[in-house]
Amino acid sequence: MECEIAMSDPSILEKYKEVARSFNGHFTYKGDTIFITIDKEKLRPLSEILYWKMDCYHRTCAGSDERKINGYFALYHIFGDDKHGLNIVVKTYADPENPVLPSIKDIVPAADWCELEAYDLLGIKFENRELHRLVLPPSWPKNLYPLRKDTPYNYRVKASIFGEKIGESTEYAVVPVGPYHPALHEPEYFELYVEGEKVVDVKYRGFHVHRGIEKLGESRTTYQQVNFLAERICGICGFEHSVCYAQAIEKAAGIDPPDRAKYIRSIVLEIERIHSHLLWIGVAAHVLGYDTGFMHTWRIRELVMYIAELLTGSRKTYGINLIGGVRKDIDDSKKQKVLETLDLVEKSVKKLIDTMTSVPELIKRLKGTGILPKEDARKLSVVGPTARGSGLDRDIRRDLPYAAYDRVEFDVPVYDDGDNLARFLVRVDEVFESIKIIRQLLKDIPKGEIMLEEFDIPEYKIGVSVVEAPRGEDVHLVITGRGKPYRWKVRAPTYNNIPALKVMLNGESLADAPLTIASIDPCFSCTDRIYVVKDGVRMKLVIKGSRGVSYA
Amino acid sequence: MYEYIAIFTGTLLSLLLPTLLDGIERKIKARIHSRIGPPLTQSWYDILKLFGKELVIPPNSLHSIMLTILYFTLQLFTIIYLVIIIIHPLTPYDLLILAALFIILQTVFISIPFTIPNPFSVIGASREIVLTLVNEVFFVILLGLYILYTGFTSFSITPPSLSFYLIVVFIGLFMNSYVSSGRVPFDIAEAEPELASGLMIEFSGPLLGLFLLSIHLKRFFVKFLVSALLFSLFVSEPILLLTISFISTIILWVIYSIIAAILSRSRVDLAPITLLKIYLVVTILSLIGYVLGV
Repeated sequence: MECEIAMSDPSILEKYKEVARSFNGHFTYKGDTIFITIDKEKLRPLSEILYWKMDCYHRTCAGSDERKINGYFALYHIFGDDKHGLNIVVKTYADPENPVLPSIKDIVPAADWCELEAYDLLGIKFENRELHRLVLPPSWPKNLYPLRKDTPYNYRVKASIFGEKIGESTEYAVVPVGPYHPALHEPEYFELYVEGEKVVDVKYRGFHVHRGIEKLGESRTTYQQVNFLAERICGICGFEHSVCYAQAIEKAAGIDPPDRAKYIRSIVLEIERIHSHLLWIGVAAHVLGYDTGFMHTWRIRELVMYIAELLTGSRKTYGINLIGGVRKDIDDSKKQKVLETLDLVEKSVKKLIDTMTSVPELIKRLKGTGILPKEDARKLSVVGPTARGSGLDRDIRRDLPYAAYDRVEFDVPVYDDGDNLARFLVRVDEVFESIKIIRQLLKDIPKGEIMLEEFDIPEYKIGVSVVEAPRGEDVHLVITGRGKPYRWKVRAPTYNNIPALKVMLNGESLADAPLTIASIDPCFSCTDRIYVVKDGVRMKLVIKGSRGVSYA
Repeated sequence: MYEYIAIFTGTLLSLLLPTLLDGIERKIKARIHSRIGPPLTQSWYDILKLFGKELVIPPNSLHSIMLTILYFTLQLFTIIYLVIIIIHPLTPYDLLILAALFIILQTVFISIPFTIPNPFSVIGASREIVLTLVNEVFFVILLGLYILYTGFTSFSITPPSLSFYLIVVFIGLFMNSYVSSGRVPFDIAEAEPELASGLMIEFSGPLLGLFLLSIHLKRFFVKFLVSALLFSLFVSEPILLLTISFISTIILWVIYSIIAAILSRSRVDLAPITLLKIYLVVTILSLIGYVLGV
């Protein structure tokens, strides 16, 4: 197979081939993705080499019920060699009757959640680790695994949902943050253990709004419909998910969308980054009690929303992305308006940031708080501004360029301090970099079609796509099926960043906890993969007794 | 006769103005935010609406209701007392009685959230204690210095003219009134995004209405007291002093609103230490000025 991506070091493929051979693994590659299939006994040593010796990050892992294809369950660990612009997919098979695989959590801490998810949703058990529910509620029936192919997508369990009791500690005070809290705008739950005003431990319970969106994508929808479903994963960076999904299919099927479509995708992706970062800067100001900063940031953000509406017809959830291209073109008059508005945005943001950074309390509260050391950031494979604020120089747009990012020049801001201020500054710098990128893209956008007229999507091909969303990289893994994905796995950036909060919050002041939680710009709906359960049906909450609740 | 009319008018204004001034503060903030903001009377609408709602008693928190009513009543009494003693001094030690009332008020205020078994409420209360320990202690010290320098313990006494050491004391007292009003950056006990409103988290309906009304009265009182003390140095005619103090309180409210809009919230370990340093400088400067006679 020919490698389509120009790698900085072509000999790297040989190195990976050698590693795969040393473990009797099967090695192939396509584009920027290396596939290694190995026996489960070899998974742990191979993971150690990839994660610690080859300096790869762990993007995620995905279980798959492939009993209909090859008679086995499979687990895909996706590593990322950002330095060489590669994804490394390590596939292991598990017995169909008793799917047990070795856990790599102790070697690769970043694999903790995805292993739990594979256990929760597919019933793949992992050796040498504690297993517990991550996604499904405690009352979900045992031995019922929603992502197995023999579980229908519309199967409804008759289960009552019970409120989970918060932890009790005689040593420390327990401060619940969530599921509904002014600092969280989505339902998630952090349990802070405090001594005086100092946080000494943190527990997290999430996935309150998991609705099985991947199952829907694998069952009820067609390839193109999933684009719209993917866009609804997040209300802020939905377009990234849509592009990520489309690119995964395009990679799997060998589809190359027109250049103009790639430019339009990149432009809209950068628009999303600007409005997302401005939203976050506003929220950070609000959390710090600086409402003037909050209001003005969101006022400026409105200009960006205007650009989004001008280019796509919608302020959000644009619906312009499809496999093979986009549905909406950009004409010269729009180009001019976008450039004029961007000038205004740039000027306004500069003025705003100058004002914000002159507020002494704001800087005092950001500096030196919520520190994530570089070593921990690397160990947990954190992504996006969280990683770049801790000195990890990684950005998928530069490292594994997609869409039209290989045609533009931009800087990747990296700060070493690892504190809330570093993450703040990364986002501020990225706003200006995004404006720079959009200007280049609009100047150089080629003429031509925006959508491929015909293409085929063969069955049982695998595609891995990574897109740099405002909060970090989105990862979509797709195994193609007949008319729809056979397996679709979504990993949002917050998924990798939340475990880092334990490090960031430990020893912090309680006052800084909401700011630190907000500093990773958490998107819980992305992480949980939310979607409306059923159109037109309203869910009614019925209180049962003092603690139990159920939905009727 | 005029004295009674002045006391009645002063009392009425002291009850109605604070919530209206809160509405003005919201409007000022909104303009700074580039928003239109609510109508000036919105804060009154909010209070009235809250009083129209059902009374929900926080679980195991019956004491908090008693203390909130006590706090409101005491706050009301303190303001009326101040209005009366400006127009018609009652004892030679009115100012000391007022200071004692204010300290009792603060104690009751801190006690309320401690009676509510909610971690956010208790954390809010402990933050308020830390802040109060610095702020109210220096309120007593600065007021003590003022009395020491002027011998002024009642509005019946004619104080001396303004000097450097008195100006420094007043700078401290105005700062003190700003901190007591619980505005940003010193709203750490409430800290809405951090503590979900902290000490008032369990309050709703009429109880919240009463609590908010008390806060408005407190904000008014702390400015009104310092204004009255300052202008008593220049004006001896009681009704004129009362009028000027009201106008000064309104102007101060507007100034404090603007300051609050351009600052961000401090932290429980930062705010008291910063305050302590400033108060110490103010106190020492004032004492040096007094000793040197400047």
